[in-house]
Amino acid sequence: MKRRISFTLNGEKVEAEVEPHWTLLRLLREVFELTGAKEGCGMGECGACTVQLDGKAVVSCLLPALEVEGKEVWTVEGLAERSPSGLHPIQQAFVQQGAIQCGFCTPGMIMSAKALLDENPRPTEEEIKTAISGNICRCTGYVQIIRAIKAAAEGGDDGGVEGSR
Amino acid sequence: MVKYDYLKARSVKEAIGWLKEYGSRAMLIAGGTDVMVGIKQGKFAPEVLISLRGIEELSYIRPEDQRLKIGALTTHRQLERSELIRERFGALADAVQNLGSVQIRNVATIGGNICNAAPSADTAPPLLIHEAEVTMEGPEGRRSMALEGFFLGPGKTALGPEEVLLEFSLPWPPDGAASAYWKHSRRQAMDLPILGVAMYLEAELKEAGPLGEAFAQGAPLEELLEALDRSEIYCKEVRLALGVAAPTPMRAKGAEAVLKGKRLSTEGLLEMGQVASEEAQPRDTVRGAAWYRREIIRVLPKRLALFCLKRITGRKG
Repeated sequence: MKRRISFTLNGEKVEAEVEPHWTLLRLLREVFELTGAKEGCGMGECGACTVQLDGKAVVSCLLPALEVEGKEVWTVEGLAERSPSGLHPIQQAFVQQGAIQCGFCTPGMIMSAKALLDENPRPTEEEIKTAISGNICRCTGYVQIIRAIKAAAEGGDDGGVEGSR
Repeated sequence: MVKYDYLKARSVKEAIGWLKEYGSRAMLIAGGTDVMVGIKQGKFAPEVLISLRGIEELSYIRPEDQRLKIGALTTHRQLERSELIRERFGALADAVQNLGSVQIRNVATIGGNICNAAPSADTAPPLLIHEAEVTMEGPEGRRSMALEGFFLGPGKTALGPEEVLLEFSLPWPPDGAASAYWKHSRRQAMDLPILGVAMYLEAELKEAGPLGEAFAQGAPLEELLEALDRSEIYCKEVRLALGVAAPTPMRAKGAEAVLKGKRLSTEGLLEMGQVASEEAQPRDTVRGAAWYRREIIRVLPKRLALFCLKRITGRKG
């Protein structure tokens, strides 16, 4: 039996009908057609489905959809939409530093980086590594990814994009 | 995927009421990082999930009556961030730091880690050496017991079918005590331990100069042990707990007796390790063979004692 929930998705109040056994990932991809968050392993190990829940990075494949009632969810789509240049500074940095190869891990990596920088705008390399330790990149572009997050931290004195939180 | 109903409890009483109503068809879920994986793997097939996540009053870390009280729904991330835990309950801080990933730690709870009762639960050995008590509530009211008696087997605990775990309560350690946890694994993040070892050590520093200097110089393990032998440090109290060494997380009490009251030395710590490896009942698993686990149990107390001593001497300095 479907239940009605309401929450904030990428800055907008939304409502949806969800089955009790759905995960947030399924709700995002199948109802809202936001396919940035990917199902990699589906077991919380790979981080490709990472989104922000009330500012914190979480794996949406293990999050029961009903738990987002009244909460704030950000996906990678929300970052780009809200930026005048079309890309969030973290995304811009990923492009500039060549931190993207196949792109499958990228939305999750960016959301983990976003959660880190929101909380800690000047992270050390160790802190960056910890923040993305739950995001697997099988093209193994970790060096560039870490460099991109560092660049985004250094370049983003404005603390990211207005209204993106 | 299994279909189930999902009920969000607003209070412990409501959760207990639903447990009574649905019986074995229901299962409790907190952060969900084990339960959801278990459902996806076909290990669990509940008809009803009862979510405890909305019960905010079960999420806290607070000192009270010479004890530290931790609510069962406290996340690993909250524990990781706690200054109190880092300062006085080092083993627990060590354990949560490398558990899963940031995404997992943001939602996974300490109550869930313990109730899941995996032999590899990272928070179990630290809670055991800190002699944690657990409190639970059921239809008949509340009861408390030592965590040591809580684990009955892999995935099995003393929690009744209609009970909800509320709190962990740890005695406040005296000054001069420290604890540490070491997860022996191939990778620090996103990996289960091949073995987990936690030690609580209360030391009397008669003459700690050589060791203090060696720590200050960042000396390697062998040199630290030599410096320990040249120092005069006595073990007033020691507790050792092991994960993935038996069907449940365990205290190695025979090994503790070897060291208690004695002067700390490389030889004494090796003897402690030897006894602990005999007390353990490890199995051959995909992560490691039993003989290998015994071998690392034998050598790890040395390292753990040094971690504890570094914390103790660092504090004094």
